[in-house]
Amino acid sequence: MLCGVGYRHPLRQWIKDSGNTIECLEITAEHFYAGQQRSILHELGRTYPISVHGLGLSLGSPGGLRSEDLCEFVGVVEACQPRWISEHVAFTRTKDIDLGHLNPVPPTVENAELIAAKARELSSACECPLLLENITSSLRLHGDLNETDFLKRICDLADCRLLLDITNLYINSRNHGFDAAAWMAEVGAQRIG
Amino acid sequence: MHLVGSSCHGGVWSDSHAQPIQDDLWDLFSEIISKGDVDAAFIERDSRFEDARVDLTRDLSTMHRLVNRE
Repeated sequence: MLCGVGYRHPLRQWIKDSGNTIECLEITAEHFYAGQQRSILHELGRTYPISVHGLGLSLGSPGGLRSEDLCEFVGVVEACQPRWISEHVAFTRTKDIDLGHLNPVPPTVENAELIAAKARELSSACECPLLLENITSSLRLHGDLNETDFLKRICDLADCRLLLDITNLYINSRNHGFDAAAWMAEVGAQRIG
Repeated sequence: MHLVGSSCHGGVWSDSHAQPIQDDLWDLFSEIISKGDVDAAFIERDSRFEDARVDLTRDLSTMHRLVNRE
């Protein structure tokens, strides 16, 4: 397993100085939209195995991916040739408004199919394996599936693995009173990438 | 996988993205890597960058130690 950090501009020099203790980097796609910092992106892509992590594609919103967002995301992918891409099981925008926050999606069969279809569209457009991340939320939404069955169904339909955010899982387990280890066992270690 | 520091205020936990990683999180991390086949793990930090280099260096060292133990 490769050990890495999330690339942030204030950490650039520290990352350079850290040598081979940093084995891979995750970059946030939106930080490089509109052609920003392309030379840095090229350099990082040449130096490290990269994961391109999206915050705002809003896989949980109704309809398909927004073409302008997808175009920007693909541009970042083409610039750094990542080994993986990732997004969240969440919605971040309504039809008209970018909420700027990762919001939970009711765990229903219909939403699992919606998110999986968009996940497949994203992975296909980027020609890269996708992972989907669990979010933290103060809300516990109810649907016809529980959270672990919802995530498993999405991953199976989208043929992708779960980007397990251990801290999000831990926080949810503390705030909502469930056993994080049992949650992981329900998801299954083989689904975690 | 992602790992990021968490904090608790008024009984409510949140992912502050500003703290070193706590032992409870490392325990979960160890549990997963002992059972699964994870490609990569990323430590995230989004604020208090003045302390980030020290915290991240220590957290990366812990991650390497736990991975190499498996």
